Amino acid sequence: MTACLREGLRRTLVVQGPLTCCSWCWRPWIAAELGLDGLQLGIMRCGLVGALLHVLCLFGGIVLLYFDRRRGGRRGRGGLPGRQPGPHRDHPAGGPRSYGLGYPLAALLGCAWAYHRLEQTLDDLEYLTFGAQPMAPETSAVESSSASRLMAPRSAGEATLVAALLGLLAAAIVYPLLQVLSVAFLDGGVPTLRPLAAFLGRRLPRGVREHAVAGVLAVVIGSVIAVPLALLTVRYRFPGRTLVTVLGVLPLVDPPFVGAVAFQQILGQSGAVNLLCRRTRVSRSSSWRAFPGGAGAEPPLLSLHPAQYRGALAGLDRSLEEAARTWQLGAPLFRRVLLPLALPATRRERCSRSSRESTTWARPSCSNYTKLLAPQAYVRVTTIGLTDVDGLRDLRHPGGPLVGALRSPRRSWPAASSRRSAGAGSAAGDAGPAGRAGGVGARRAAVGAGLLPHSAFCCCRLPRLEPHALPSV
Amino acid sequence: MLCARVERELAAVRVPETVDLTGAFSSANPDLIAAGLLYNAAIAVDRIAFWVAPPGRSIAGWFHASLYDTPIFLCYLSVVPSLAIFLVSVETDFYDRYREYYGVATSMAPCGRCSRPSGP
Repeated sequence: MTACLREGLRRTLVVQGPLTCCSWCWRPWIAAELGLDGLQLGIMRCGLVGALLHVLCLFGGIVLLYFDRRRGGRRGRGGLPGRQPGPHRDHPAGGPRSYGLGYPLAALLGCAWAYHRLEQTLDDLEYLTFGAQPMAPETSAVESSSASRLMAPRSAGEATLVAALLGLLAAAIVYPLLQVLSVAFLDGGVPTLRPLAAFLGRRLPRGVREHAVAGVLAVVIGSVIAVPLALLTVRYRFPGRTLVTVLGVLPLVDPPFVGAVAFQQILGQSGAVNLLCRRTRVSRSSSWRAFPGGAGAEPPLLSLHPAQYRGALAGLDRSLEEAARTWQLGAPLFRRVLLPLALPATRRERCSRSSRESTTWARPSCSNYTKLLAPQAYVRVTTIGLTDVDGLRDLRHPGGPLVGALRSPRRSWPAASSRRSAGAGSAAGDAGPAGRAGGVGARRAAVGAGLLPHSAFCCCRLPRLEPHALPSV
Repeated sequence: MLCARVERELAAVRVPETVDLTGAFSSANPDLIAAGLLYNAAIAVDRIAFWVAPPGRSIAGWFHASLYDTPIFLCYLSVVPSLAIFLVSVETDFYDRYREYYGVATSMAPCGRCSRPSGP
């Protein structure tokens, strides 16, 4: 277990270290691209160091929580914020030179405390295990029904905590949302439905059509690329398999507009594809529109991550594949055995992909912003009132929140329904500990097959490195 | 609603690890509550400090902005790959070993098995 911890820490450092170094070296370029001034550049320098320490602190804190060292974990993780307000509170008064220093200092202190406690915990692990842990799992929580648990009477402390959380939710989310929405339904203080009627009359049909196109294309193109990629990473061992796997998982956790920035640079008017088309004289059009639907042309390519397909394939019972090999199914093995077994999880992936892509693009398309990408929307939000006085009005258009609200409940439905339909006994469940014991057997790949995943990712990701200045034609 | 959905999903799977969400709010876990609260406060407290300080400015209503927001947001973005590895790969690998280790304890196995290296 200790070796596993060390290996995990090494893997985290192998990724975060170079990333921090690259970000550090490219700071001036990033600042120039985003229009950051010298002061913000200094804050970013401190923040990058703080981010590296933050990851290490988080690692130590969560591992402490695993060992039920809650107080140590609280101080390790909680030490980060606990010490952070001090330096930060002094920052604005301490002058611009001290801006941003609190984050790395707090992360460093939290990190030192967490690893100190972790070292102590690992030294005393056997004593802690046998002396402080319950020796039998508590079953009362499992046996009681969910309804009785939800409806059980709460103590005054619980009720206060729940009320405080709901109050925080209302103040931080509900109230600002209502404030934003109210402008769309008020005209000089008088309630009106004219903006909503205009939106429903003109923009909704086109928006719905484009969302449907985007969702279908996301599923089709994403499946065509991601399923073989997942199969290769599960079935074959080749150099860089971990890297490809991590790159496949990464889009799951990054904010949508990060991917949108990347694909804007690939498919935008000044993107790599357009530049390539111009250079090779394939197309003279001002922008690349290979798919129908205007703004719906880009989202399909956003959904390339094979994580869930990979999880489904890795969770299959290895004996099933061996049985299929015994029957000498040969080439149809994947189509007739592996894919049907992995179908529940892949169906879940397709539903969530389709919902996510069409939701991501619902707002700009329904609001008739066919060229407004998510990063632009983000920039617009952050600059409202400063340079873009119309932005707030655009954001308060009823279309975006309305479509988002309509889509949100549906986003959770496919996953839930497919989970229920899959059932607990499905052979293609998530790759949990039991599934990880089985899984499709991994073999050493030939050189050509080993290069395929790398090629796929290079084709999809590396065009970002093309220069992004639109040449004069 | 989210908690209710999670409760409903997890309640359908009768495994020993089923989480009692109502118990999470009980007084038995004050340290966890404090850790979560303080940690998430850390994500916001520095920005709030800058919003209310002279470098910050009010945009509209509750919306504030400061020169601190953009660089620190970019720094938070830089930890996303590491957290992806941590959550998806490291934590799952470690959890297997962790559960195996504590399984030795809960199944009343000899103490010597705790230090015995486990299989792949």
